[in-house]
Amino acid sequence: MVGMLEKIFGGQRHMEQTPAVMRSQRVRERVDMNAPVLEADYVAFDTELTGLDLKRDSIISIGAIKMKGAGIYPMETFYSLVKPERPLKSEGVLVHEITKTDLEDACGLAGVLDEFLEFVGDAVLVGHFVSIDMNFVNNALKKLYGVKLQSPATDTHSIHDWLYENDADFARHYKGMTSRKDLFSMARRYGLGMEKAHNAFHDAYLTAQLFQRFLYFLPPCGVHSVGDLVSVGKI
Amino acid sequence: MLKEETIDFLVDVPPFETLSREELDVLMEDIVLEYYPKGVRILTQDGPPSQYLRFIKKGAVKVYLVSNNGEEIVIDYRSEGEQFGLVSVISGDRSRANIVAVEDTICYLISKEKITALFQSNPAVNEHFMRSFFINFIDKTHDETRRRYVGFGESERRLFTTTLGSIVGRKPVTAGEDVTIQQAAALMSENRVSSVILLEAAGAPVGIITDRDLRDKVVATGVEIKTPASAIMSSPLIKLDADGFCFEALLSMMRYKIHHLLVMEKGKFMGVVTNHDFMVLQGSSPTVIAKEIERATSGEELAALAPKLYKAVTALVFEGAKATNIAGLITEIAEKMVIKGFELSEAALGEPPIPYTVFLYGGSGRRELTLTLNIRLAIIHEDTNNTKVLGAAEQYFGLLTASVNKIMSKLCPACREGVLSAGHIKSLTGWKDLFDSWKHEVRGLPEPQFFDMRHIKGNEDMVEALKDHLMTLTSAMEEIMDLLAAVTVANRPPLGFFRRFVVEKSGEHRNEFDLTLKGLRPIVDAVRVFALEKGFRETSTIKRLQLLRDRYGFAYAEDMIQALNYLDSLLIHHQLDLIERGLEPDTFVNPEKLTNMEKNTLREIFHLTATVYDILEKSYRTERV
Repeated sequence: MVGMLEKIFGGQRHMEQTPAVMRSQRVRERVDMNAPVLEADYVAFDTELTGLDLKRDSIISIGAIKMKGAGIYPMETFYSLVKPERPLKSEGVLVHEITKTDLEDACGLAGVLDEFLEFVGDAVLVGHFVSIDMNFVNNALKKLYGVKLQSPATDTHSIHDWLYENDADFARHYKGMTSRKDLFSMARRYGLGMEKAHNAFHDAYLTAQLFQRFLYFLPPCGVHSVGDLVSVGKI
Repeated sequence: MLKEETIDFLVDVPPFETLSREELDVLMEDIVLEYYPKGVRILTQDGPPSQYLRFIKKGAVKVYLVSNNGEEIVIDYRSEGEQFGLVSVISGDRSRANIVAVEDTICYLISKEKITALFQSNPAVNEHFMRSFFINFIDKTHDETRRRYVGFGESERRLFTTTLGSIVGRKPVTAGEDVTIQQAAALMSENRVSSVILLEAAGAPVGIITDRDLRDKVVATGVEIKTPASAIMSSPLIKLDADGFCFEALLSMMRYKIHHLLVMEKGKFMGVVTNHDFMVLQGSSPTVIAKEIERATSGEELAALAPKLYKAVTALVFEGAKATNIAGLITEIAEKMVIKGFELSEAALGEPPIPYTVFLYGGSGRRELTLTLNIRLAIIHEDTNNTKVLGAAEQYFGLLTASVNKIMSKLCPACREGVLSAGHIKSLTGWKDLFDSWKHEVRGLPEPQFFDMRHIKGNEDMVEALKDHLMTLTSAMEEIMDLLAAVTVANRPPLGFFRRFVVEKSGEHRNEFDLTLKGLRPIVDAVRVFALEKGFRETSTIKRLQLLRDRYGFAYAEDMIQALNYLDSLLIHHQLDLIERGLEPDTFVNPEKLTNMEKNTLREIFHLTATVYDILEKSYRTERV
């Protein structure tokens, strides 16, 4: 089928989809968009990139952590470095405290993505400015398999803005908002501990904790289901 | 990746520090980290049972019940490092209480499966949680924060090692299931018991009728007393095997909210156990101690009873008795020991040359002693002009003082310095002169503690006469009231700038403060001034406050009663903790060792005291001192 479509539409040849990719492509059939937000499965994730240019830059690492409702599972985590396809510009790398050797020993992107999709399963993705991470993941999936992520996803930054505009209780509870929307300013604002050097995993963990701090305020404002959440936390 | 962070937390939570790395790994496999904004209800009374035992990483929760008439009864506050949901997890039927986050709260959740597996594989952990279970759930009716390390000695351990079969008492009172309510009640009063077991024809127990059933199901509803008793019996009965341990019985009693359990031996009805049996088992019944004081023949024997007093207090703490009531019991026991001390001394010294009367004052007069047993005694003897008698009396009282002090000296550190001194033995006139001198400040400032005098031995009229004199003095002399208020406000609560606690800078109690002197005393002294102003003869601080509230609508009374209970509770827990560690009870607390909630509560209490001091300073000329 895929092969036939390729013949019709042309384009580059793709790898055969792995079972995890195939499974992930049909996630919409299994995710219950009516599930209550406080009971649904989530995976908070973050990617570390060589830069923000979709054409030139690539993923260095992916970190993720599982959640159910507002509960974070500290033992169900994912962190993987990606072996770069192109040689690295050295200055960007230092920020992430990852050495070239670390990366050269790592798995290739296809393998990491496969494990990541396996880890995500049927969960709803949660990220901070998640569209950036999704774009890079989609870019890679497109190159490899000619597909895009199908998992429902929600953005903690949009949820935050929505709550601040729509829920007086939320604004009161946290005594106002922050005008700086980057993950670290938000994390500081909501009192999250950040003693460790940040990498994709710790950023995913911070995102999960931010999501935790917002989640309880959603049902009283009418955001009951995963479907509601996805429309409020728009990407 | 988050494993280290999780382990760091868990190893700080008793009793997990005793677990091996492997046990911790298993326990953490499915651990969850949850966050609840302030105000979120985490568990609901009578709602579904909790699937997790929750440990507070940050924040605090309130545990409360809602009674049938909608009243909210706060059972406890829990804060960092403490857990909640244990009963619900163990019982598995429903949640026992409402639990609401009172701050933004983060909890680690350990699943029911993991915790029950750990209980089975590690008896020490099991025992630890059962212990906190007792502390937190046995008939708790008040809202003091509890410390984790309540004395848990040999007597409580007995609950885990004694079988039910070995404590079942005499054969219980039984009746056929066809008797009427009236017959069952008659049987109960005849045998002076609080329950009767109904048996079916073959002799198997089918139900129980207790005093409470008669009250709730007969008197309150007007059921005809000729009705068969089986109509009001509680059934089915909760039965436990004679081989079972006492703590299991306690657990069942709490689970089913009952006080009587049937003990079965090889399927046959053996007898009934009640919660009273467990108190006796722990050797901690106050009546037993009172009897032993009665029998004592020396100071050594009295001192040997101190551990029993500690046990009784521990048991009362377990049962959730109000701290001020516990202080009342401690005073009661101390008072009996003092009387015994005088009796033993008199037996050795012979009849006194002149009749004398003993009164207690200070904390002992107010019935507010804690385990430091800071007893204050004084003697009034009859007036006489006969110098010969006076000389003999002086000699006798000298010997009496030495003897009583010696007998009491082994009881506690405070008693070692002597409970009675020569300066506190005077004739009625001598005492009146002393009190009169206060208004001129000739012999120093007034000693407010004397206003709490209470007779314990000899002629009560002497004490009443002296008290009358004091009361007249305060109503006639404004200066005395000013001085009392001044003495009170001179003792400031230990709260400095930035809400920091003011602690001792040096000495044995460096970094600590005296909870009695700096916490309790300001409240007690302030209330005494208000009570004297209104002419109350009452000595108990709580009762003084209740009178001020009921008669004069004193706005701070309720808060101050709560504060007293809280401080007493903190103090008694602290003392039991010292005793458990083999140290002597004292009143010095290191604020750094308190939980955040305890610190915050103390700060609130000190602020309350400051507010009350403001009232005193506005009402009296306190600048005189």
